[in-house]
Amino acid sequence: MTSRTVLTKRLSRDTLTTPQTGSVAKGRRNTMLRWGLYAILILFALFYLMPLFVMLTTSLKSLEEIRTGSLLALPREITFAPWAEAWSSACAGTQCEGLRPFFWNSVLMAVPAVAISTVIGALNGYVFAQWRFPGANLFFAAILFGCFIPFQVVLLPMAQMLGLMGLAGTIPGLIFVHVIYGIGFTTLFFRNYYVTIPQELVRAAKVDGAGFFRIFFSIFLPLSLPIITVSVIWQFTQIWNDFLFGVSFSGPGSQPVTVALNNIVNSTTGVKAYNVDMASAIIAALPTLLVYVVAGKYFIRGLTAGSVKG
Amino acid sequence: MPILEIDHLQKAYGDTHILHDINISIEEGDFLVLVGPSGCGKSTLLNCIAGLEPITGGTVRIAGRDVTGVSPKDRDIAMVFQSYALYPTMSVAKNITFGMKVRGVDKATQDQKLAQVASQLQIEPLLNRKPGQLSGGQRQRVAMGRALVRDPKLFLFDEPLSNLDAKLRVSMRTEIKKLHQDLNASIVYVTHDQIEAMTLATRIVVMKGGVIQQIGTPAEIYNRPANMFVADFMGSPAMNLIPARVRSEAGQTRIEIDRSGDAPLVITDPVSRDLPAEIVLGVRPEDIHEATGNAHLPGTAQGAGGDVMIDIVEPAGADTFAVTHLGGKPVTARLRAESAVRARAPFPLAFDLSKVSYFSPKDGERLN
Ligand SMILES: Nc1ncnc2c1ncn2[C@@H]1O[C@H](COP(=O)(O)OP(=O)(O)OP(=O)(O)O)[C@@H](O)[C@H]1O
Ligand SMILES: [Mg+2]
Repeated sequence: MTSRTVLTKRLSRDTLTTPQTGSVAKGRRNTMLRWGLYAILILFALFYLMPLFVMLTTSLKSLEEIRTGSLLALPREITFAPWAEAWSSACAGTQCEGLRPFFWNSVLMAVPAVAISTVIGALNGYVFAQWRFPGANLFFAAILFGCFIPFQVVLLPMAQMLGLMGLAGTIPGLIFVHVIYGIGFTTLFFRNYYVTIPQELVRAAKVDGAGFFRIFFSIFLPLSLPIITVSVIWQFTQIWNDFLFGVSFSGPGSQPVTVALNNIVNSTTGVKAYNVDMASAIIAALPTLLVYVVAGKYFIRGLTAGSVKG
Repeated sequence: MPILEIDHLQKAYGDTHILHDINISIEEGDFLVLVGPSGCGKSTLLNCIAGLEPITGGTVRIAGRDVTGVSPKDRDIAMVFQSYALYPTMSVAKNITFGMKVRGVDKATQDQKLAQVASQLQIEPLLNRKPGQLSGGQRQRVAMGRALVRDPKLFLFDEPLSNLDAKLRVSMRTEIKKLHQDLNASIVYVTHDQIEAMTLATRIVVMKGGVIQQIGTPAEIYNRPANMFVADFMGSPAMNLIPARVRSEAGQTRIEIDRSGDAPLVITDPVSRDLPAEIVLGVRPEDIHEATGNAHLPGTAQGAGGDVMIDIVEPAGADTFAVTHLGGKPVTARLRAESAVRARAPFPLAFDLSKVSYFSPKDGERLN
């Protein structure tokens, strides 16, 4: 959202308010251009919002109304029953407790996994950026390579690994997998951010008597808010939305919400409860949406930090 | 006991040798300035003294203690960096007390020392600001404050004034000199500005390509440069380096310098002996005077000059610079402002032979 408004602003400044010589015709053409631009942008926005609109309205309709009414119509009678059902009584396979237990599974998985991978990424990035050691480049290349390994490749060895560690089918097992997979990205984020911090700062702190962790906590961490935001949003979105690891490495009591959503949508008997499906889908997507709304502004700022001095 | 003793120090990055056989020794209260062109290894040497760069060979001793393998924090040093390196998220006060906090100094002492240094550097009104809210000169003061508050055995300064504008640089220079005198501190100071070196130092080390060219007091470096590089690097305008031929005649050394459009200029040096046939004569602009027929300038040997063609005259307030051509090189003389010198006209000039340097044209080393 933010990036789009920025883009609009920039476009309008560059193309529409270039130095004018007072020509009326030119002024009128500019106004028309501006309106044209708005029209296009609104059209795109509508296009992108359409699925959300359909999901939201459908989730608020009764099954009866869905069957008789049009897909795009607003609900005649708003009902929250599908939401209640999706949350606490819809059947995922044989288990009919709604999304609620799985939602908490996801929370229990995502929060520690995000926190741990961000902390490790920050420390890794700090070492790679400021404490050059022999072979650092090789290590960094290896970690970077980790970002590009497709999920499918690691499924079997990872399953074996988790089995050996006694973590198969558990939430700690899922946390472990997501931490491992996330470290590559978080390390990259933090390293690229920390290389923009001048080395003389570290040297000054060393002369002042500070050690490795003291320098990290007193100097680097207080500077890191933008990149922590980036790391948290990225990791949270990845982990919350992940399906493949969830479906591969979870047991009956540890399935994340994405897996349960799939089960709910696929395990309807008889009439398909579109309203419940839609409500479930929205519930499953809500946390990532929320994170973006709360911290999206910092996300963009963090991604571009370092490229701009100041 | 020397406060700093560097013995056969070597520094290399892989196969690239940066510093070659550095030997320096300074006493307590000395102000040592490392000076040299960009990239000659001044910062590297300073970082080696600080322990921020491991050295490849040799030893470093601070106050008699061998600190070669000791980490920076245990060397009892404080350092001011070229970029000031202030901690951006901490207030000025926190920046200054960070070192004490890390070392577990109690709060009362911290506050007392902070107050003392803040008043010394006149930064009391800034204590609650962040470094980003300070001007360049203010940042510089804070960086100094961070070093002063530590009261170390040795201060290390890496070009602390190079980011300031010319005027501020001059006033900060005076302040640093005053601080040095007030505290009787031992300082190693890096600069590539030879004027800064001359005004601040009690001892100067001139470096080039990782090799020490000369160590000495400012007067020694200025008056008796060890080689042509030092002669050329120190002083502004630079020392004139004039190719010349040497003849021995009746037990006297005669020096012949080519002069444009006239017979060679011959001057007689009654003191110097055993000079090779080819030399380079080094003479500072202020040691070339107007040769007046009757009045003998002090130290000016008779016959140490003659008429030369003046190319350019540059009045500069107190002095007038006259540029001529000798031995195929432009030669600058610093004359009195009221001198009657005129461009494109001959003018009598005399060298103060008590102050000239002779160099070998082959290796550039000093001969006299
Ligand atoms: N990490 C490094 N690896 C290899 N060479 C280096 C490294 N750091 C510095 N050098 C080289 O060492 C030489 C000396 O560098 P140094 O920073 O000490 O110069 P300096 O005299 O301080 O110059 P300046 O006046 O520009 O600050 C330079 O040629 C530089 O390229
Ligand atoms: Mg330097």
